[in-house]
Amino acid sequence: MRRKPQETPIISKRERMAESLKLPKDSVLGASIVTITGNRDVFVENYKGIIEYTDCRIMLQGKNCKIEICGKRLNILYYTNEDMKISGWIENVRYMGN
Amino acid sequence: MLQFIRFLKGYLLIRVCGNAPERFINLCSNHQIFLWDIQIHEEFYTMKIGLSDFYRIKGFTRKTGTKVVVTERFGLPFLSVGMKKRKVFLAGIIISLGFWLVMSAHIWTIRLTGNYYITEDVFMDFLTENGITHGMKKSKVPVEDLEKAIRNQFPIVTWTSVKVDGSKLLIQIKENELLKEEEQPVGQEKEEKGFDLVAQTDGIIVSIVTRSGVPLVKEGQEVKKGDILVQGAIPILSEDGTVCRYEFCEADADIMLECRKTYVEEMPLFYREKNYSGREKKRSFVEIGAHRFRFSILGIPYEEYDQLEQKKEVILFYTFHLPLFYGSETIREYTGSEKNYTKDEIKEIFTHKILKIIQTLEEKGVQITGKNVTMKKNEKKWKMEAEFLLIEPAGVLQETGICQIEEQNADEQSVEVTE
Repeated sequence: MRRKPQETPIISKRERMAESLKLPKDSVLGASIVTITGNRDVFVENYKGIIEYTDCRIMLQGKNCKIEICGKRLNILYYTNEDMKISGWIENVRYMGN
Repeated sequence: MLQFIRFLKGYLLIRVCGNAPERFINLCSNHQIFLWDIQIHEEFYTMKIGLSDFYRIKGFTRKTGTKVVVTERFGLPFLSVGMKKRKVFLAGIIISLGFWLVMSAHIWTIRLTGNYYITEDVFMDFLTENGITHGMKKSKVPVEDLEKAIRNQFPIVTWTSVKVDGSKLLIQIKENELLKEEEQPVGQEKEEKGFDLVAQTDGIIVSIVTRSGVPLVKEGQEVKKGDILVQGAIPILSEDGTVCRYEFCEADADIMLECRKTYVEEMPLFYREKNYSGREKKRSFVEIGAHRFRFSILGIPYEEYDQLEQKKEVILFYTFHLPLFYGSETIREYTGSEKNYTKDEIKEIFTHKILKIIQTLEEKGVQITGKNVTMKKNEKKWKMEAEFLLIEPAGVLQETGICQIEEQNADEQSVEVTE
């Protein structure tokens, strides 16, 4: 049986330039920064907005992808257009394509 | 700190329900509206929003189709709703807080401890001269310089500590327990000048016991005022009997001198007798500086009266004297009539005066061996002359008039003369 070739991720020119010049990706590429402290707190920066918010799932829209945070009893401690802090019982953090 | 600032500005707990609450949250964040404590409940979201930001979300609710309800209010703006009618009360609280903050930055009490020989009045005068007063700023108190100044000014102080505690300036001193002798006048050494004991009045020497110096008088000798009784310069003789130099000292001796002293008292022929009617009036007053404010509208209804005043000063914290006094005035009416002193009355008054003079002399350690009292009357007054024969301590210190002789050759021997 022939194996399907693995899908290789496409790296854009901008990303390559940022990597080679060692520039910060959040400023150059608009990448989101997710800081997780244990399984209790998540600090997210550089996002466009909130798509969904429920007790067990928060979906955020980043520049090029969506960020999904799953867990239990999730609360947003504060929310601004630059950063936000989520607390609760974090189970997983996933990046999903647009 | 952040929480305190939020409290000062005021914030609300709102309930958001509807079709797209996430859109509402996004719209708020895009318009720089800060939201916090966002929680999801079964059918709605709760979140906290600042009071000023709350007034801006009306359009968003319409746009997103959400309903916002205020469930709780927090902060100072909501406390002051009830205070709107009591603005002066609120202003009073703020002013008193400000007053308290400003006043606590100043010194209001100065306390001195550990002093025995140095009196508080003297010390307070010293502090005033050095710019330390009640009401001065705490930051302007020069602690170390003040400690040095205290040690320089008062040689009897062996240790001192100055501390600012709240609004109090605490000064602790430790004095030398061994009493020091009085210092010699500045610029003069004991060896260079001596002090003689001279008679302060004419009299006869009754007894003399010399402890230092050369006695120039003996028992039974008559002396005049200003005569040297004990010399403070001891002559040192050389071999040939001449004085080669003087050994200066402070003359010290117990000398009793018999002398006569006359005391004169006078009294007028007439006096004004006061017959008190029994009517009196009392009124209170408050004195600020040189101005007195009496709590009485009416004046004094009497023609002749005596006024007795009782006044107290307002003192805060034991040492802070305010230029504020309070007290009461008692006004007693009398009718006066002119009367002559009778002989018995004058005798009684003069006897009382003489007894007082005798008591004063006895307290000074003076022995009265005789007295002669005469009473005379002339056109204008009564006159009493009391002549006392006293035996009192004599001798006052006076700088000696003897100057030092230049020393002879060192080979010559000296002989000390002692008596």
